[in-house]
Amino acid sequence: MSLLSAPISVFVSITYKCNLRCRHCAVYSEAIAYDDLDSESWIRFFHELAELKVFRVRLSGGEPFMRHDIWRLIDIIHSLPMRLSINTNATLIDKEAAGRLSLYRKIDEIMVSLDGSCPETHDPLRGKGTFREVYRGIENLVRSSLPVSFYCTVNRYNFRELDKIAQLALEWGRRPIKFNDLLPEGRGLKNYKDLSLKREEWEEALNLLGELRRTYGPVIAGTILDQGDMYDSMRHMGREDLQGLPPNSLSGCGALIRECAVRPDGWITPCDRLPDLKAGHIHEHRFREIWHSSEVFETFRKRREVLLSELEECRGCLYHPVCTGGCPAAPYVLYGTVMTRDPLGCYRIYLGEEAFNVL
Amino acid sequence: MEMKDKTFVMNKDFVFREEEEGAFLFNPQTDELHCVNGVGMFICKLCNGKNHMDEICKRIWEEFDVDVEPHRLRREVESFIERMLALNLLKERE
Repeated sequence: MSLLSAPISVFVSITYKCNLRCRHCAVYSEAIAYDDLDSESWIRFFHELAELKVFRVRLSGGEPFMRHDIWRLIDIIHSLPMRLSINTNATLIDKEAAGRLSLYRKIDEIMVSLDGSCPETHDPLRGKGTFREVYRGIENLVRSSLPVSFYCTVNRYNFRELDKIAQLALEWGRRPIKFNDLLPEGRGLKNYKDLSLKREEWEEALNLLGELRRTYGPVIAGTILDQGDMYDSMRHMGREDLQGLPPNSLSGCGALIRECAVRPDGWITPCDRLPDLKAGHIHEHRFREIWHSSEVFETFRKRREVLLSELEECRGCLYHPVCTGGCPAAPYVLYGTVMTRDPLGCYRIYLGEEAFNVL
Repeated sequence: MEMKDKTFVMNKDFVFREEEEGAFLFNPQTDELHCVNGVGMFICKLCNGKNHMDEICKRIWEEFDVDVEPHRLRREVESFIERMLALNLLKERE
């Protein structure tokens, strides 16, 4: 498969600033701070993406609405031949902001983080009073008929009330909601031991989500269900089903095939979850040049050529033909390399052949 | 007017993005996305309001290692263009 002339979509972390201090945030860490690019740099960059015929931009952060120039930047993106999605905590979306957003005709999704069904479960994670603020923001977006969806990080505070969180999303008009695993990055890494689920708790969450999906359909989604589905299919495979099949490669990550990311300070990376893999800066290189020729990107793309059967960690595993090695971000954090499998998505670890909580 | 006498142009609402093995046609207003293979991309580029069906088929014949009879090639090109017209990706030149 030849390399695309440019990504289909680009994940733009438009600011590092955020008005919340969520304990599970995968972006923030007290140890790092990026300076945000100025308006003119972003505008030049969006024009460059349009020249390359990139179809989609997703604005994230930090909190995008912390930027004083956010409306100008959205106006620019909207004036270009591309579509837009936004990740937000919604706390800064008042009625006026929601009304203004509803005037844009090319917004695909406004994804709002929703991590609890009430202040008691939500606020210990995200700060006192935040549930009410998020709730108000979501109401403003929904009343303006915007395409809202939700993202819930499943953790020890909320894993027993995922049905209530889903209920909220459904009451707001059967909105899609992703229930995703806690990521061991940023503050999420610092608080991982406190917030991550033990194996039995993870299974309890998976069972609850499975029931919700059976009841409400594909609006209930996310990495926990994806992983549960993969484990379920592996559970039903015997040695005789897998013998003789060729091994897969580390192909479970779509970064740098159809998309890549940009940090708030202008460094291009394979994905927002790999902010330290800096391929080039938008002030120093043309984006096209980075996409095609960056050494970091060329090395990362070779990941897909690494066969699971060649990996020390995967030696003797029965599931080489069906496993894809998972996400490269966790091994990067744990071992300093992306050239191995994700221990958080490994069936053998899940089965208990190694410790479940690897962090 | 018969198909052979018409010329066609790309619908300007679609972004035409060339790739090594084909092209994307994307309408940012409606989020509609289509893909065509290398031959499809070649035909799209010939739909510039100047080339009639005879010319398009002749150019395909010259450019590609075509393994079908000329009348069959013509039928396939016509069918492709009809499909592109139905999807509003191409327009007949006024």
